[in-house]
Amino acid sequence: MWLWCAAAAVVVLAASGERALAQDRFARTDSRNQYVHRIQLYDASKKLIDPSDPNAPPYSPMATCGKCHDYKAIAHGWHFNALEKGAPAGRPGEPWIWTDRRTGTQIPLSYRGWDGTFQPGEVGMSRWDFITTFGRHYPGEAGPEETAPEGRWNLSGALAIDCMICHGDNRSYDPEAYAKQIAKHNFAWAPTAAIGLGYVSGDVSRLPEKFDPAKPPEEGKPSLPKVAYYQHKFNPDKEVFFDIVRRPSTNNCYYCHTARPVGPGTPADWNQDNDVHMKAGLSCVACHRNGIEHHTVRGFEGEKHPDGADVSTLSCRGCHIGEHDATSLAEFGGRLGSPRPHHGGIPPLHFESLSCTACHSGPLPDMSAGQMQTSLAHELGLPSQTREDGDQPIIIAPVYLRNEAGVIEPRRMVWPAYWARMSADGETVTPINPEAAYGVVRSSLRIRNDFMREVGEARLSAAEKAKLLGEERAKLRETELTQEEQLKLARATVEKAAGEFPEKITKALAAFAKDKKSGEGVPVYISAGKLYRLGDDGKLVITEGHAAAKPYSWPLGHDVRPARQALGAAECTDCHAADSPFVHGTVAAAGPAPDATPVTMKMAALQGLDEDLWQAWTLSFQGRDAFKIVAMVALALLTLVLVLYGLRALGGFGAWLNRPK
Amino acid sequence: MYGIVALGMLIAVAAIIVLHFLSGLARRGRQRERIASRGLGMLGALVYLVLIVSTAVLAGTSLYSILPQGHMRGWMLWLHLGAAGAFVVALLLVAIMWAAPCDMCTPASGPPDQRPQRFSTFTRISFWFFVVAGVVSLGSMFLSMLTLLGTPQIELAFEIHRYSGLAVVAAAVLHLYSVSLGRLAAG
Repeated sequence: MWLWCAAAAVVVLAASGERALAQDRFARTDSRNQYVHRIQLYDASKKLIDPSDPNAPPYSPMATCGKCHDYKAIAHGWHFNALEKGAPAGRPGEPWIWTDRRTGTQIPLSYRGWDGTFQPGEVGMSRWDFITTFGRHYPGEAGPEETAPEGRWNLSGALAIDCMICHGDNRSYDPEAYAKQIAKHNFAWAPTAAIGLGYVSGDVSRLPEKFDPAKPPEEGKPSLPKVAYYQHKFNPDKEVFFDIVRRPSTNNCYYCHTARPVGPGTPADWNQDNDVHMKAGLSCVACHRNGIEHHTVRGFEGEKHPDGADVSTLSCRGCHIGEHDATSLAEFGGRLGSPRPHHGGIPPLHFESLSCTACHSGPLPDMSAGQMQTSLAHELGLPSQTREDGDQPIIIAPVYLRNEAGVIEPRRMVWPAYWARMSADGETVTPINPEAAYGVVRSSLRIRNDFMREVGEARLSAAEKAKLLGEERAKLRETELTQEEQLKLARATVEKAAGEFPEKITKALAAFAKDKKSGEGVPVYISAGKLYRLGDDGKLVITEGHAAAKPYSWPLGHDVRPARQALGAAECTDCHAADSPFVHGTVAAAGPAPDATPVTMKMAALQGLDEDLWQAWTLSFQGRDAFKIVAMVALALLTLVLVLYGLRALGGFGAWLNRPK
Repeated sequence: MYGIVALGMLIAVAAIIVLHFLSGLARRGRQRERIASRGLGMLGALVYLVLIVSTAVLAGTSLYSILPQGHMRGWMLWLHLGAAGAFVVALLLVAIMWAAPCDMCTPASGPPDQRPQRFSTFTRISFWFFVVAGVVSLGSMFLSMLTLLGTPQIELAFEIHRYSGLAVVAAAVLHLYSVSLGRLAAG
């Protein structure tokens, strides 16, 4: 008995000791009030920074923020764990698209192994290359691969999670400064420069190959970057004010999560309404929530949260409608006062076959799906004087597809484009690293900067212009032409370029066949769903539908349009009509190669709809209003007959009751 | 649940028919049931045929879809709605044409000169059952087509439609049986 008591006491003491340790490790206020972060800075080796020291190192968010917050746990969160071994793949989302304009390359990449994407390593992209290419929009947590040599990571420093990208609130956080530091390979200095704590000078990318960081810096010789901290920002205790919010503002999310429709017919940015939730006063994090572990809720139906938390009411349906068989408050929906949709007259089977986003999200569908640009793919958020609507990578949206659960949802779609080597049996296609491909592409096609523009835009001769526009109009400058004439010229240019392309690609593929540096196997070029290769006779063979040329798509959730702009809100014929883009719209594969006859898919086919059935529905919807009138009249007359004979029957029954005995 | 109710309805209808048939046999010697559906003419017969065929299509498409899958969609739903159009018109015409002969006020038995109606009590009851169930079934579906009802109300209307549809099928079978029996009896 005594022994049992002693053992129990040890367990209790150990447990309370553990609890005490846990409490000491990280600080919490447990208040809804925002804690004022007037804090000291720490470097990557967790040493306190003296901002007056001319050789002061850059501040490390890992050490500084990690002093009170569980950085390790945060690093496992959805935004940061893609590079982590064994991280969950999660529902497929937007990939990183490796775009090399010189070679007409756009390869969807993901460390998460999403079907249809490449692992960066597969296409010869090291983690270093990945960060230097995408670090501009990558929220952090990357170092050298365990198996790879350290390379220049010892100069750049590891890329820690920069907490302030999301949690900074005073708009002094400068993502452009962050991107510039990444471009200079100043990974460890990027957070300091971006938050504006000091001026960072120096450029790791310019340091010589054999630069030794351990050697003390010498005057006039290249050195590691330096930080000159802005002294006025610090108090005598070396503390600096960090304007931090617990819940990041939408503005911060938009840096990485902006998506804008582009192309003809798209309203100007100022004339777009953005997401209706934002206009209602919500922020992204109102739904896309997380705890300290940063397992950010993605908000789709059926999402399983790693914490085991019930997040069903953080999806559109869960929040606006609630769970059908709700048993707890968490399942009732109506969070933050979300209105319950009326969906008047819409048969419930629509809610089984369609995601909420199908009718409510993204740009309204057109007969031919439009183009979109995203932050990750098109470097939105960073200033550019050369960004154009048709820039690579070409992303098409909305494309209505059936997901794994058989539900139709709007998606964004991108077709891979790359030079590759194909195995003899045609099964395996291995992309050639664009860096390796560029030499051959340049010499064979005389491409300087932009494959798509230089190959895709043929010059029309004066005679060709005159044939299209007439002698007089052809002499005018392009800016003086009408929009219709400009379109005519553009179409003719593309057609001419497409006509010339087979000859050009044949030349390039022949050059790749001779080039042994870019690998073994049959050289191929993939673009817009087509695979180009040379046959045994040296003639161009174009194959459609090869597995390597298949598009990759991912669901789009935003921008959510107001209810009145949802498909079907006005009329059933928004979809149930012969000219409905939702069903009869087309999706033309798009890529850097000019193509006069692109692979074109119908929305109905993509959704797996029976087109005959849909045709039948369309026909029957023409008579729907008439049916309603007939049914109403019939019901009225039937009711009249029932009332009339019902009253007669009642009268008869009364008479029977009162019959003489 | 729907499957159990449908099965129960099937058994109940079969039981009613068997009991009615047996009781008819027992009464045969004493009182011959006086039935006749003649007098409604070719048009009446044609409309009745349309009503029965459309009811059969409605029943077939719904039971074929709902019993195994729990819902109706695709070609079955399209056929169901197509048949509904015919059903609406046919039910209205049959109700108008058959209402007077099926008036419940006058007795089915008694001296022949006091029996203006042409149908037995069983036929008349099943007829009115058919009309009432038809109106409920039609009404619930018609309301759900208007923007008046929201999703929960539409779901309730669908439930009412499902079960009143079963009642329509039961009534149609009973009515068809009694009319057929009457015609057989009338020779």
